[in-house]
Amino acid sequence: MANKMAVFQDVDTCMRCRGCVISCKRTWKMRADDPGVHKVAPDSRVIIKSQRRVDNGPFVRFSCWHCPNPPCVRRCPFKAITKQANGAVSIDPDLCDPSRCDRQCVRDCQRAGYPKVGIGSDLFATEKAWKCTLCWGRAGSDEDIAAAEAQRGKSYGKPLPRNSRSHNNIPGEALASIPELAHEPSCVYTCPAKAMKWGTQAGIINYINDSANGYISAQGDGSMWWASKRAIIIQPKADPYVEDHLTPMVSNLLTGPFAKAALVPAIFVGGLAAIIARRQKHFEESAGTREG
Amino acid sequence: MTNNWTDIGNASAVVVMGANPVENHPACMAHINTARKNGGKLIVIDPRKTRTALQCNPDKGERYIRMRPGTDIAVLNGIVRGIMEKMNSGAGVDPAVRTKFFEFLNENSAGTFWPDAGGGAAGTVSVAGNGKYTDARFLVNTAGTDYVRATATATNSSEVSKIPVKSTDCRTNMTIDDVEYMTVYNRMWEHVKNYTPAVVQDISGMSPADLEFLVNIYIENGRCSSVGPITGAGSQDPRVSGYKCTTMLYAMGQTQHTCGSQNVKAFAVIQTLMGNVGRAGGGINALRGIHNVQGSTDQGVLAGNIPFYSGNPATMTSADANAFGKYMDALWGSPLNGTGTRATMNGSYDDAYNNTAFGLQQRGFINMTYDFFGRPAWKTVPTADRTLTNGLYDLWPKGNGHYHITMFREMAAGRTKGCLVWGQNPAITQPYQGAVRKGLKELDILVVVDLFENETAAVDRKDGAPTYLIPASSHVEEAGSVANSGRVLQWREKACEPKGNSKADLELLFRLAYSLDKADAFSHLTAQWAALGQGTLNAYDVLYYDRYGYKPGTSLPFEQLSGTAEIWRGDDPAPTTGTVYGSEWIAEQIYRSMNPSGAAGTSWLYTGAYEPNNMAANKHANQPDWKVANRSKSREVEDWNGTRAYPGWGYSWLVNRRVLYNNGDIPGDVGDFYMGPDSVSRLFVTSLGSKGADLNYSRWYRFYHGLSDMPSVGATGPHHLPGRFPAHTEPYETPREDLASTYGRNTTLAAGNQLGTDVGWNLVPNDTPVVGKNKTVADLASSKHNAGPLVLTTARCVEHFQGGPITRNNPWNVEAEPEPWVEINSIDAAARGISTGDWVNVFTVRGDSTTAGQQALSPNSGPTSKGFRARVGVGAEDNQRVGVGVVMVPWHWGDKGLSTGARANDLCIDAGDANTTIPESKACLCQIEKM
Repeated sequence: MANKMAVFQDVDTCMRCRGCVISCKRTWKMRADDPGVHKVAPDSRVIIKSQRRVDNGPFVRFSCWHCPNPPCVRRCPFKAITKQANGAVSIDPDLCDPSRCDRQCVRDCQRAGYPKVGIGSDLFATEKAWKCTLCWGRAGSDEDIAAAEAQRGKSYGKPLPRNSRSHNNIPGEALASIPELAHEPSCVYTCPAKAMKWGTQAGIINYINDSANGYISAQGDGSMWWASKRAIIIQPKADPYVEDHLTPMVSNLLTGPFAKAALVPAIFVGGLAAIIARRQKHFEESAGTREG
Repeated sequence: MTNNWTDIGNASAVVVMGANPVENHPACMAHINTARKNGGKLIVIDPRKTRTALQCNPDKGERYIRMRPGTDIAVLNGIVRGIMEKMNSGAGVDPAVRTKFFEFLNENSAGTFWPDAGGGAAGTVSVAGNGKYTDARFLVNTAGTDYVRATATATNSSEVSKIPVKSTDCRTNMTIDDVEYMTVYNRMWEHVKNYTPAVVQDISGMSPADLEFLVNIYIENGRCSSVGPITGAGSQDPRVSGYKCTTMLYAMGQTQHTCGSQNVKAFAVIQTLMGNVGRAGGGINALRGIHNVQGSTDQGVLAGNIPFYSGNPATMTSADANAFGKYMDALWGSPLNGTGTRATMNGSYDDAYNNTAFGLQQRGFINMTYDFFGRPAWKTVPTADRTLTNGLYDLWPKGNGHYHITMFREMAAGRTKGCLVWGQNPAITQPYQGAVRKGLKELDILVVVDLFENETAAVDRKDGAPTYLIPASSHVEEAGSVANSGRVLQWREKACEPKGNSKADLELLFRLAYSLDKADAFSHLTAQWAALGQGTLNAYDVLYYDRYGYKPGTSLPFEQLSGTAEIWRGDDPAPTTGTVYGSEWIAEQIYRSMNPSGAAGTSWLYTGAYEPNNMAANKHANQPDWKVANRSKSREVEDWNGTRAYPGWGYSWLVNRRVLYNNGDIPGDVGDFYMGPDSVSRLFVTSLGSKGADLNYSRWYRFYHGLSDMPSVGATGPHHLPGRFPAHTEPYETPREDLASTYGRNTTLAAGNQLGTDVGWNLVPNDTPVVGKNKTVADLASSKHNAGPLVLTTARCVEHFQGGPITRNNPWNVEAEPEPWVEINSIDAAARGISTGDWVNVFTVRGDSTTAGQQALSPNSGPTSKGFRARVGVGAEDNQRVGVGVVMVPWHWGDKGLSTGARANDLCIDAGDANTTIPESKACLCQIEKM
């Protein structure tokens, strides 16, 4: 019986060094096409975003949540997306072919880290859907890695380094009883601040809920969990489309050249209207006085 | 680092001042977080609200405190004053804490003193009232100019000279009337009492409330607030609940100032005062810029040093028959003397040849001389005698080279004609590119060894002068030992073969030596060997081929040479022995020859780092025997008794000591002998002997530098003198000229200073070649926005590394941080009409960041510079990255690689620190305008 695994991020400890982002890119040969601090693009499986402006933190990891009942799995016409026994929602890029589908996996997802379609990796010359897969096929137990290879018919790549130091384990969890701890996802073993942990879903939930650990706020589902001792965590993107597309548009409207051009006439007209209204009111009041 | 990376986890307060570990040492944060998880506090003092500062949690008593660039000493002296004031008066401090504070400084219980016994077992001599860590009870002489120590007698009646003894209670001697009893503590109070909170606020901008907060942090996290007695294992065990200690972390934010060395000394003062030196979770910890900075310093790459911290055989000529004796005398004097003053060797310098009288470092120097110049030719270590010692000593190159700043001026003047730039990118990293590039241009030959064509390789050159670019392999393509910040030697293995036609650094070095030999550059060696009776020898064969087996064209290719060595890779339970190739084998041989088994190796500093015959040497009591003779390959991950010392991971000099100046109280450390301030002199002293041991550290320090030692010479006196209390000095370019006239600057060298004599050059940039210089400081103030000049400071970011050839050629790093930026306070930005995303020209009297400005310094700079992208602060003053009047630029960018951008070091000043010549990269005057 496979354990349900999950990644936990302590957002207070994260310092936005983006070691996880670079490590992920290196592991999956993702491209480096467009600069951007908070980039949402096919070549970004994991990004780190600040909840406040100008990078003041807390820094929250945006990646696939690996939902317990993922809509993307149900929607994929090619059966490329799979909910694995260890909790990971994997994509087999060989099966994925966005040119022949209507990309429901992107639109149905209501959470951060939704699949992004494009030529994201140097491994494939055509468009694919890309997202975090918990390094499925290269992390987890040795059995998982073998199963992934059998499932796909070929290897996903060399297994990630063996977790021999247990630095990123949930306290009380050990490789002896949980074989999935054998290989951590690349983001977790890279994290220099040790802000991320790799453990069982139940263990992580217990860890967050244990009052001794002092967390005041948490978010998460499936295989992605966040918690903070300092800040209230806003759920990373309830509606990613609004966050990534509408919000910048609205923001540009309010601060862009159009808004500035409209500001002067708006103030003038508004001021005029206010003056007229005030004079009207004054006139009515004084008329009332005369009457009285 | 006096302590170690892992030891930071033992601290109850981590004061980060002039460093940004989140961005520049991310792995360090794991250890800081360990401390914080156990209740430790993170305090960040910086002109810039770095991402490290963002980690501070105000709810847990952590705080970020802003200050003006270049005012660290004022802040630290203000803290010292606050501590002393509280302790002296007793107001606002727990009486028990106060009692312990003075108990430590006046320690009147019998201390224990462990003299060094020449490599043998440490003897124990109890001295009543013996001080452990602090200079507080050193006396000042009647003239008030120097430190003195009274003679002490040990309980076994042997004289132990110059041990600090208990003076009358510090508290009762607060006047300087009675100089006989005036302790250094009292003299210190006289020095710092002028740094009142109001004065500190005027200088640094730090509020009295913030200063008070810092005073309390130090008091609450010092030895005086720790549990248990003031000394002894019980009070210094970091595993005990209630253990309190402050560690101080710094990096270039402290050192890259004209007062850089004084800044660090101010750290030492406050940590010594609070008893935080030589304790777990304490110390003064320099976060090194790269993994092997400590190693390169150990190996003597500085202009004034030969390997392992011995000064250059600089002033003696070979015509002098007593040259060697004078060198030994000048550096260390006669090691066996029992008086307070320096004992000169006798007229024939017999002690310099007296094998029983050598200190460890002296013996190391002689061993190194014999190993470098004697053993290869004799095929064995020849028996030492006076003639041979003199003859081999002759072979040392004499005199200093040039310091980094002066080097480029020597090139520009045509006195330095060739330059070999190996793994460095001075055309980016060195302040004032006008001088650097002018120097590089005038060279007859420039050779650059790097992974990529960097800015130095592409620098503008005079007609007909060639530049060669030699392709080197990267650090993962070659093997060798490195020494990290914690002085830990670690073996770096070769992960893959060098790419293409690139070569391992060692192979390039061997080939260089081979070519030099063919050009007869080693004729002085062969001539001397012949004169000493060794016949006609070939220098390359003797020095390289016979020893290490590589000769271009004769032996196997470098990467095919092989030998047997220990291998410990990955998760091997124990190392195996196997065949290693190329740099793995050559580096192993060099490492072994550097560290021969025995107490006094060629590299005396690394003594014990290669020890095939005693697998129990220098190990912790709980630790099983070493598994490897090459200790740098050891990878024991056990923390043998829970004090985060990890003594089996690599090998830490000295003698695997993880916490320096520890007297054995720390249970996790190995070795139980005294390492107080006196202990540095342990390096020079072999035995008490009949004359007794002179353990006067400040004596060695003074005479090494050829300087007199004055505790205090007033605010505007010569600031660079060692032994002097650090005093605030203004940066060379400052917006507060009024403070500069009061407190002075630390750039001018007084007569008699070692550097001043050697360099013959004043460390202020008045004499710099004026290239592209078209503005004065006055112009900066009267720019078109009629706003005063701003202070320009520099920083690094997590995405890029140093001069940038590696990271600016890595697409992922370039994607993450594609362009240089400038951080501006919203008030300054508003005054100049700058908003976030604008391109901004930053200019100083030395240059500007437009393409035209950059090409004025270097005509072949590409049209790449758009200036710096503005990042304007948002919100309240405290939340902004930089304060009003300060701007920050990162300096990684240049005109080569995948990511190009404005060169920050076109702008920065190269006024140097009077002690070390480090340039003042962290503070100069600039002005900004929207492009």
